[in-house]
Amino acid sequence: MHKISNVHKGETVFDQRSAARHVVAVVLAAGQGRRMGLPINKIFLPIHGKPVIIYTLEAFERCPVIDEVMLVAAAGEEEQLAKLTQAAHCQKVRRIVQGGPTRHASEQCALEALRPRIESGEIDLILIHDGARPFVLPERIQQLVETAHACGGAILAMPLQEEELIVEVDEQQAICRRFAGQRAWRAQTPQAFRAAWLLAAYDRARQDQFEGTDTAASLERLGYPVAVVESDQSNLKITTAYDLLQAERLCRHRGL
Amino acid sequence: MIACQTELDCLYCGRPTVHTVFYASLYIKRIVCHRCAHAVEKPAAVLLRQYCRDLPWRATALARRLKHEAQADPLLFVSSLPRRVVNKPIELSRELAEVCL
Repeated sequence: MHKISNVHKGETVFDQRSAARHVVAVVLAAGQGRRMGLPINKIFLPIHGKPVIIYTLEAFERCPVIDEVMLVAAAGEEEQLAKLTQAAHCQKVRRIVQGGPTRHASEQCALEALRPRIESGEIDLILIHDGARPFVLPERIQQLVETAHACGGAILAMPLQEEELIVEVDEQQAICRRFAGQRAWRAQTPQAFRAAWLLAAYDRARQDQFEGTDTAASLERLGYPVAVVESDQSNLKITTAYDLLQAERLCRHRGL
Repeated sequence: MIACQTELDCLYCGRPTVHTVFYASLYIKRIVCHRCAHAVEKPAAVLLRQYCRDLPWRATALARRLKHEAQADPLLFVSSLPRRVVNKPIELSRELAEVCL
């Protein structure tokens, strides 16, 4: 049985789940907005009156294999996020930590906060997810967790369309490698890994001053196996104006 | 009309820029890039259709909320009624104007 403090009520609660299978989802919500002195981080933008980040958190709330959620917030946004999660009754959000200037640095902040529990063997699996991907399906999260339990690491990804092609170019802008549709996949989040592997990979990345574009990159470079779980376009990341409109349509389609 | 400023990737500028997102009622009406002024706008007819389609659902949600409030604190509920009866039609007509204009 593990003692966990509850961020909303200042209470202490006891988690009675099995210690060996404790799964923590880290949601990265430290966007660029506030860092640029803008009024709103895009995770706070409302879609049908509800902030993007709440849709994201609700997916984890509805997923039975997730025991706890840790939110990584931009400096100065912790309180606003705590109020929002409390109002939305996000029971699994136990802690909000301050992130760093980059995605990699924010992940490192979360891992530092979880380090004692990872080293004691309390946490089995950690999922890293972008706060701006509000429509990940709980079934997909479950599938991802099962695969990560079996393989050690797993990410959601979507195959390119058959007619799509990705090419790798050299310094002279000449094609040196090509990946046809169905063989090249577009990585998404959540990405799930054994907690001890993740911590070791990020400690090593810090030593080597390596910054990956996603979480899996830090593990792949050390030879840890990372499996792929097929996802689809609905797990979109809100980055453009069109994504925002698409998110609104998806919201209606799913009845959220 | 509510407007929020945030940073989004602009397909025309090819980089993250400040955008203003304009809302009519609960719906996104227009998104404008501050750098190139490119605007993505939802046609008024689409917006109106969305608004009208959601009205019955909103009415049901309001009825449910009023019922809970009446059960929780009947006195407070009754005292708030006159203000709400006046304000709700004003609020609805304001929303409709935002959607249509």
